[in-house]
Amino acid sequence: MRFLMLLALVVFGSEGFALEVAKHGGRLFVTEACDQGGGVLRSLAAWSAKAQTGKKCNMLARGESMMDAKSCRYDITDCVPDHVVQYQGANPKLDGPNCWNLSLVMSKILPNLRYSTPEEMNFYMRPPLCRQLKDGEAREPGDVGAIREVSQGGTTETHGFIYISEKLAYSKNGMSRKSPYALQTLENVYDVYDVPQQAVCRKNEINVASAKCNQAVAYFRCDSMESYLSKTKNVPADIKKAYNDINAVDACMEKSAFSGQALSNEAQKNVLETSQALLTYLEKSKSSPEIAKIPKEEREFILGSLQLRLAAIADQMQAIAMGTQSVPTYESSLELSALSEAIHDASKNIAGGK
Amino acid sequence: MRTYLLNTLLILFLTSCSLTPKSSDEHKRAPNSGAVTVLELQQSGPLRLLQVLQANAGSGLMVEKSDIRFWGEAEINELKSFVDDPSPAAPVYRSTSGVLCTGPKFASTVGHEAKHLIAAIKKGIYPLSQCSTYDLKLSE
Repeated sequence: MRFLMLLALVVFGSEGFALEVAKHGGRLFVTEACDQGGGVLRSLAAWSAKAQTGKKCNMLARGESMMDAKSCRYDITDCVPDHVVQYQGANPKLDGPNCWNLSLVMSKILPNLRYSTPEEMNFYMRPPLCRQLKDGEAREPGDVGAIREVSQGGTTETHGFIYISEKLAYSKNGMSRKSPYALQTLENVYDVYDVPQQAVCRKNEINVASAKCNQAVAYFRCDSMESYLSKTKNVPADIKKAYNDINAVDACMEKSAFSGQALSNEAQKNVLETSQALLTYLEKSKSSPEIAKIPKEEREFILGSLQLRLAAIADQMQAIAMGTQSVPTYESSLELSALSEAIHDASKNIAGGK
Repeated sequence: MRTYLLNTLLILFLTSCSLTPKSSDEHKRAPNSGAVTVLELQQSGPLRLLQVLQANAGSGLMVEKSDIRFWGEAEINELKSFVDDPSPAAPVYRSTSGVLCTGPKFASTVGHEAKHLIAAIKKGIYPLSQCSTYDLKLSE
């Protein structure tokens, strides 16, 4: 059937705002109430422009009136970021790829879809890559929303998503393979993660005033990792190599999580060798002038990001081991986890820098 | 560590589909059996749930966010005798959990899960959080 909807998601917001996103024939369509006047299309166009996708949204396109004559459908394939075209409604085959990772990938901080730890999310949502928006500052499409549990002991990462507009978000609600990547209403995201409707829980900043919220949202604006690295001088060749090698490992994790296939022995060997090489380099470099040349803050950021990536990869490997019932992969994940801890300790012991 | 690993993977090879036991091994739950539903919770009761969590130690149990107001003081009193039990157990997590609520990092105990259940019964919602053992506190 030509118009058979292969994938559809309908999400209603609290004010009756309904959104349906569906794929068929390789095209992606969004349906909203005609009386919204293409508001969703305008939001997506703004997001696409901000993300510099190079895509043009046809703002003059008239919504195709649906059977009920109250709904209008728009083809958004040539309008939204490629990630949405490829992954809207898609599920990984294995557990792991999650909300924090989607936020970091869409912000061009991480290259691949896999499990991200809450520590990794929290680490990147700080300078030098990201800054928290001030209360009252206008949110922009592509900003990252971080829902956090607020308690007397501090805050805990609960969820991350991409803000598109006050009505729209792009999110993967959970690390489960049953949770798809999905455009959805912002209200739905707040609802799923128990963010109360009070304005104090939905500001840009989480602070003392958020204490009554239990769950509150904070918004961040981020720079890409590529942009940061291009401005950072004196990065030793061994560290650059570790970045490239970990990028390759990340790609393997994505491939396995989305194909459901076990990690190859070669991939497991590569990640352990990469980690061991980084650890050996850091232990030798404790007081070497080469690494001490990097300003302290930059060094902490660069080494911290490498260590956290390896720790997250270890967790993704554990999920792959569980999903493919592979004892050797599970053993490799434990070994990698121990290596990432050792890298963390070795990074702390490096002397020098300003 | 090896024993822990083998126990974890052993669970994955075993099959079972329900919280309702038919034999001692059937407390174990298959990895593809989906989230525990509110109906299953209601039919099994909190003590049987604790047994399932104990049988699945090393793994994690996905549970639908559920209105559990059908449980009350009687169930809380039953659970109180387990709050000091240090036996290993699986944590519970919602299908929307961002954290990979399984494995050594998120390992739980019967006592911890009993306390989580008691707190959940008092609030009428279970699981109370995205992952019952996710307790990472990050300062702003």
